[in-house]
Amino acid sequence: MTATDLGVLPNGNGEGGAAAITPDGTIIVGVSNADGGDQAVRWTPGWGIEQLGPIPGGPAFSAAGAVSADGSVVLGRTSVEPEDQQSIPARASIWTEEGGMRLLSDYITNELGLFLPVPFLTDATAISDDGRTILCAQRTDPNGGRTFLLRLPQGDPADFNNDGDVDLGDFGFFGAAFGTTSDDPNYRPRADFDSDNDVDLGDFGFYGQRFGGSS
Amino acid sequence: MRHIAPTVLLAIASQAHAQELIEILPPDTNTLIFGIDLSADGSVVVGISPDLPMPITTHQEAFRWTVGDPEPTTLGFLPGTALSFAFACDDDASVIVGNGGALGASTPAVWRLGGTLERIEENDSPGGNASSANATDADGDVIVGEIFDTGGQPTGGFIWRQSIGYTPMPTLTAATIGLRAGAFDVDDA
Repeated sequence: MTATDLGVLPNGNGEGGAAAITPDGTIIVGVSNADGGDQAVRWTPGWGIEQLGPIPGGPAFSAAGAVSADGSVVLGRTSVEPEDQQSIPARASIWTEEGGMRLLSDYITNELGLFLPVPFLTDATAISDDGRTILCAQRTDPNGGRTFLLRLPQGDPADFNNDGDVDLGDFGFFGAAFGTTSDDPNYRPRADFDSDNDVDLGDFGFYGQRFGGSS
Repeated sequence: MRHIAPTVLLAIASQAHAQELIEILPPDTNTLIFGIDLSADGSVVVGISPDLPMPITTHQEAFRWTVGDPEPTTLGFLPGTALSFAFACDDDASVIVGNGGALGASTPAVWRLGGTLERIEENDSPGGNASSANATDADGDVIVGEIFDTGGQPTGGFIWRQSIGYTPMPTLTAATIGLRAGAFDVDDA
C-alpha cells in the first residue's frame, strides 16, 4: 500500500485534502489552499490539479465534496469565511464542465426553472453516477434541516448544457474538446461519444446527427 | 417505524424536459432529516433523522429510503445505545456505513441489508468521539474511515476488507505535522 501525493495549488500554504473519488479511481475532488483561502479542486490524469472555484464575483472560499462517475459534475460549497470560522452558513455549489461553478440554488431556479421553497441551500452531499440525481439540503441545525432530491431526466447525450435541445449553445463545449485525446487537459469524456479516448470526426458525426433535436 | 414522507414539490413536465425537485419530509415536527449519500443510480437515499430539541443527546437514527417508498428503513443502533449515523453506501445501498454509539464515544459501524447495525471490528476499531466509517466501494467489500481518540483527536485512517478485516492505514506525513489524516472515499477497484 502506497500513498501518492496529489499536489496542491500554487500560491497557497501547501495544505489540501481529498474528499471524493470516481468509481474508476481516475478523478479526485477536494480542496487546496491558494491565494489566502481554500478552493475546490479536481485532480484528473490529463490536467493534474485544476482549480474549480470560487464563483466569479461570489464568496471567496470553496470546497468540493462529491463527484459524478465521469468527473463532469462536482458538488461542494462556497463561503465568505474560512471553513473553520464560519458565522454565516456556507452555500451549496455545483460545478460542471460546460458551466463552471455557481450556486446550486441558482442552477435549480435560473437554469432548470424549478421552484425552490427555501432561499438558499447549504449542502450538496451526494450525486448519482450519471450526475442526474443530486441530494441537497438547507441545514437549520448541524444535524438536520430540509432535504431535497433533484432529479434530471435522461437527456440527449449531446445536450451538454441540459437546456432540452442540441444547438449552438452545446457546440462551444464540443468544439473546445474537439481534437483532444484522453491525456489532454481539454479532453471531455462527455464529448467522446464512442468512448475511444479521443474526440474526433467520429464524435463530430454523432454530434451532427443530434444537432437541431430536443432531449 | 418512523415515517419519512416524500413530496413532489414541483415537476416541470413537458415532452422535452421533466426535471423534478422532491422534498424528503421528516416524520413529524419533532424531528429533522438530513440525506447524506445516494446509491449509484440515485434511487436510494441514506442519512440521519435526529429528534428535536438540539443538540443531540438522546435519539438520532440512520435511515435508508428508496425513492417512492412510503416509509424508510431505520437502521437501528449498536446494543445499549441510541445514536447512529449513516455516511455512505455501496452501489445498491445494500451496505451502509457510518458510526454508532453514544455521544462522544462512537465507533465505525456497518449495516447490511437483512441484518442489523454492527461494529466493523469488535476488537480492533477503538471508538472515540467521531470515529466513523466514511465510505465503501461498489459492492461493500471495502470500507474506509477514520479513528479519533477519546479526547477527540484524529489518530488516522483505516481500511476494512471482507477478506482481511480491519487494517490501520499507513501513517502519512500529514499526520506527523498535526493535520487531519483519514480515509474519506474509495474507488471500486
